[in-house]
Amino acid sequence: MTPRTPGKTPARPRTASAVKSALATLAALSLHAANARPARRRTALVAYAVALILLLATALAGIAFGAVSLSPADVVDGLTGGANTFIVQEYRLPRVAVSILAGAALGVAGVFLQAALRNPLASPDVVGFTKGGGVGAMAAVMLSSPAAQAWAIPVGVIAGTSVTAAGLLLISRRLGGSLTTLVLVGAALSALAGAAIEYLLVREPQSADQAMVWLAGSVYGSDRADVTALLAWLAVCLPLVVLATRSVDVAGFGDDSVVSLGRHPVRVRALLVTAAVLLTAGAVTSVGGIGFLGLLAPHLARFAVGSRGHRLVPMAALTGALILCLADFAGRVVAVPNEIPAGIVAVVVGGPYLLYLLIRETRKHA
Amino acid sequence: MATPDQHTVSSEIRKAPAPVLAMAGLLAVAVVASVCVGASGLSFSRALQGLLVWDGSADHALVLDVRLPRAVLAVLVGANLAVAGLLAQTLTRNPLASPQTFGINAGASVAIVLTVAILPGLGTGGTVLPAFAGAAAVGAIMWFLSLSGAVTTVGLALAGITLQLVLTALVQALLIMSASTQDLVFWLAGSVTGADWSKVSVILPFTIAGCAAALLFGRHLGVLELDVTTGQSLGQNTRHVAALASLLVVLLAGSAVAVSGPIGFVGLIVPHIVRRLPGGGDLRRLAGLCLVGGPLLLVCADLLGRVVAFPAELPVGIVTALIGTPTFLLLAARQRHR
Amino acid sequence: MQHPPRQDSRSWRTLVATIATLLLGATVLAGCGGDSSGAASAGPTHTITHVLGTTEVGAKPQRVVALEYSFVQALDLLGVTPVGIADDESAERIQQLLDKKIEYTSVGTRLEPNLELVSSLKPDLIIADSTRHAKIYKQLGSIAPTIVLNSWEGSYQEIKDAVVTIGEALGDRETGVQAVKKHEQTMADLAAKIPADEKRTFMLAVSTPDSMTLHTAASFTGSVFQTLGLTPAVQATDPTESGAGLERVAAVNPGVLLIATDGAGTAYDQWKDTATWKGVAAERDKQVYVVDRNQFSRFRGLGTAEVIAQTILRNVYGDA
Repeated sequence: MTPRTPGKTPARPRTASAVKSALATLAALSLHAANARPARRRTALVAYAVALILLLATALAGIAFGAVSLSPADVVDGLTGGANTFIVQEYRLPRVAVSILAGAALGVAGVFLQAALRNPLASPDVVGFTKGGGVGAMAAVMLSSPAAQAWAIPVGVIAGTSVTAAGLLLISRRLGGSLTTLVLVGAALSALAGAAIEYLLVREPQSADQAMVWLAGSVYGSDRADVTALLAWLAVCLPLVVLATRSVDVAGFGDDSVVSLGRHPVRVRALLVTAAVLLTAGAVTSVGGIGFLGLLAPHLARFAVGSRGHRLVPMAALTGALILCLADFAGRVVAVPNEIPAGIVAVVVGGPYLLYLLIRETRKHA
Repeated sequence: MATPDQHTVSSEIRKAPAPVLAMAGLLAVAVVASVCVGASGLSFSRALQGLLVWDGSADHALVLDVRLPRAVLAVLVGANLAVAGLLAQTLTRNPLASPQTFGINAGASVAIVLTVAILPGLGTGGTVLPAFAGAAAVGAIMWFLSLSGAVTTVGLALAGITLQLVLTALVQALLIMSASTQDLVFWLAGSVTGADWSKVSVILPFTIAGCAAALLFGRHLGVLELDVTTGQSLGQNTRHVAALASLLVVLLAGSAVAVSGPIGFVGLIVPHIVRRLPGGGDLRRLAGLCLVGGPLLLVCADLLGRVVAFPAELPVGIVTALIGTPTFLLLAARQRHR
Repeated sequence: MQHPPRQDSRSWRTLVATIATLLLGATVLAGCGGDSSGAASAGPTHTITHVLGTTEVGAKPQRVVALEYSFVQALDLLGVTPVGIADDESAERIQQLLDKKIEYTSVGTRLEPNLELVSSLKPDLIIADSTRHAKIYKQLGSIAPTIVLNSWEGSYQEIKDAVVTIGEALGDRETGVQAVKKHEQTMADLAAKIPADEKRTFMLAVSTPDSMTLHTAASFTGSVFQTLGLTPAVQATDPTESGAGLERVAAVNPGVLLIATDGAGTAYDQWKDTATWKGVAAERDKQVYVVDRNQFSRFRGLGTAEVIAQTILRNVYGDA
């Protein structure tokens, strides 16, 4: 690794290769990413740049466009406290911010879980974290008064997610602690949480509509307090995220290799799972159960930058943010005046892709 | 193998092992209990009387209109799901296979909810074909995945669960867009509350055809448990047999979802439990055991759901999940200790 | 990847930089612009107490946005036409609700009303529902003074109180009180036409594809029945009992049964030919009436209560 900064490289070939890798990244982000070559460092940097630019463009579009059409001057006016202050500052900006943060958190959580369970199909949803959080949130909505919901929902989500995760780790440890067991126990807990959700729906069909929207995932109604809360939560999680990122590669090896590297395999796994739980809880509190984002984002990111943890984690964050931001934006503008929850947009667009992924993934392991 | 036709269903029944008879006895008790318990305060003896004495009284009408179809529907759905689970597990050589874990139930649900959203007022009969279509689509995907060769047991199950999650999200999307969640919560959880004879008549042909086929062709289907080359060397056309088994899974699971919603865990745990019973072994016997065990589980679960939350009801799908999750974990644990 | 992963310091910098960028970006997005604390009008205000607290409302709000059907009916009683309604994009429901066509802007679904459109209407009062809109109360508050009332799960009494509260918010409490008084008089007149010795029990059931949802004494229709001096068939603290099968309906055995449906293909169609259904008192006495689900279960307003009462008088007692 020569300490050569990008600025010192000869201009022409760099541009050419940059264009090439940018195209490769775009291809990787599109549906035809099946055979992206193993990404190198520069490709990774370009991938970051492309994803960041796309994200910025989506964010700007999300601020500029919506049910009410605003001219650029109106937007600037709104940003500086003019006539459209509410639309720009209180409605669109927080939604864009929350979708970026929550999407990034879910993407990173997916990477951690896939590393911890050494399974490319693991995601916070498959092992029941999002559903567990959903049970907590629904119970909070149904049992608490309207005024108390502001704090009851986060508490419910965190409690639900943590109980599920603790159950997952404890039960699979009792059953031998192998990765297969972990995945199976996760799936069983997910089904159990699903049944609990059904029970709450049957008990309180009055709130079933809202519960459904929440379970599908929606960025609707995010305000500045939500942004601040999520931001604070993720900031607190950041050290753990950095630590966990350092363990992503280690966890990919067999348990013996982990030991030979001087790490404790169970501790490595616990660290990754804990980080995933915390990130998922934060995201689920803000946007509900957009489950498969945690599966989709890491895969897209892997196409673009390969599977080394320190490259994959930032890219998964960017990809997750981009997907959720795009989904929310699309949901706001396609059926005006109706709002389509971001989770629905994401599943309708991402579902087929996920299917393709599934087929590819299972074949690869054949 | 030369003269498979000698083994008819009747000869199989004559040789029926003790567990089948014992379970059939239990099932009979459960069905009678199911007929005797309900939301209205009909006493046990009067319900029994209503079942036995056809006198046109209100008690008799209630038993005939409500409780009997419900018990019968639970029996049929339980049989369908358990046999479908057994076939799916044999077909994919995967102990984690079941209509639920492979997303086949969810596939049928998506198709049904979509149909109801577009064409309300079709009734149960109209949702059967879409249910088959949805189940078949997912079944085809899973079959394709399992054919791709040495996919790991867990890998395939995970793929199925992921598929199920996406399909469930699609169901949620459809429900939100059509604003009909409130009306469908019971169906969504999996329930035989709305049982009537018309639903029984919808599922009955498929149960009879599917289960008879499973019993008759059990010997042929057994070849699926062997690996591909052994099967071929035995002269069986594995592909045809697999196609038949897949078709049966789709028919059995699809018709069950059409009448009762997606009920989980029955197809997963019943085959495992009956495998542990004495007298299990070849596929036909297992199918016979499932044919009794599935109904037994579902009728008991339905009964429990009515007793626990009296006078309201707990959808049977919730009860099977509550029973099924620990059972599944226990089975997984025992598997490990072997 | 044969060698154990060696941490590449440059990539680490990228990682930290990316995360920092994301967090910073979000901070900027979140923090930019000053605080805009609500759109409280400059003129004289008065305080309205509602489900989620108190709100300062301008003296005479003119541009009102209603996020639930019953509020539209209340506003109509008070002589105000809302500028925006969360109508689930079905204008015909509003027409059915008010029995006339009004000019308004749809602001999307009741579940997730489009706040951009709400704000573009520049309202001076927003009326929201406590079940569905508690989460967006703060955001609504920064568009315009917002009062939150219980419509979705509201009892008859709460709906009546809401009319007074809305009148108060419009700066005209007296009209609200008068409207409720007039309504109570209408109901009393209608109740007087019902024989005092009525012993039958009354129930509204919403028929869904697989089962029925029974409305109890605590529901809106249940309290309307009681106001008319009638006995609801199910006494309970929960307003509705969902997932009721044929057996449950037969056990409740109502004397008069109103069945609300959205159309054909529901449980009612499956049940009505069975002997058990024919044994239910209401069916036996030909006292089963299929009614419109919008009117009887979705709208929940004073006008709705009168429609329910008139429907019963017309059908059960043959009064025109």
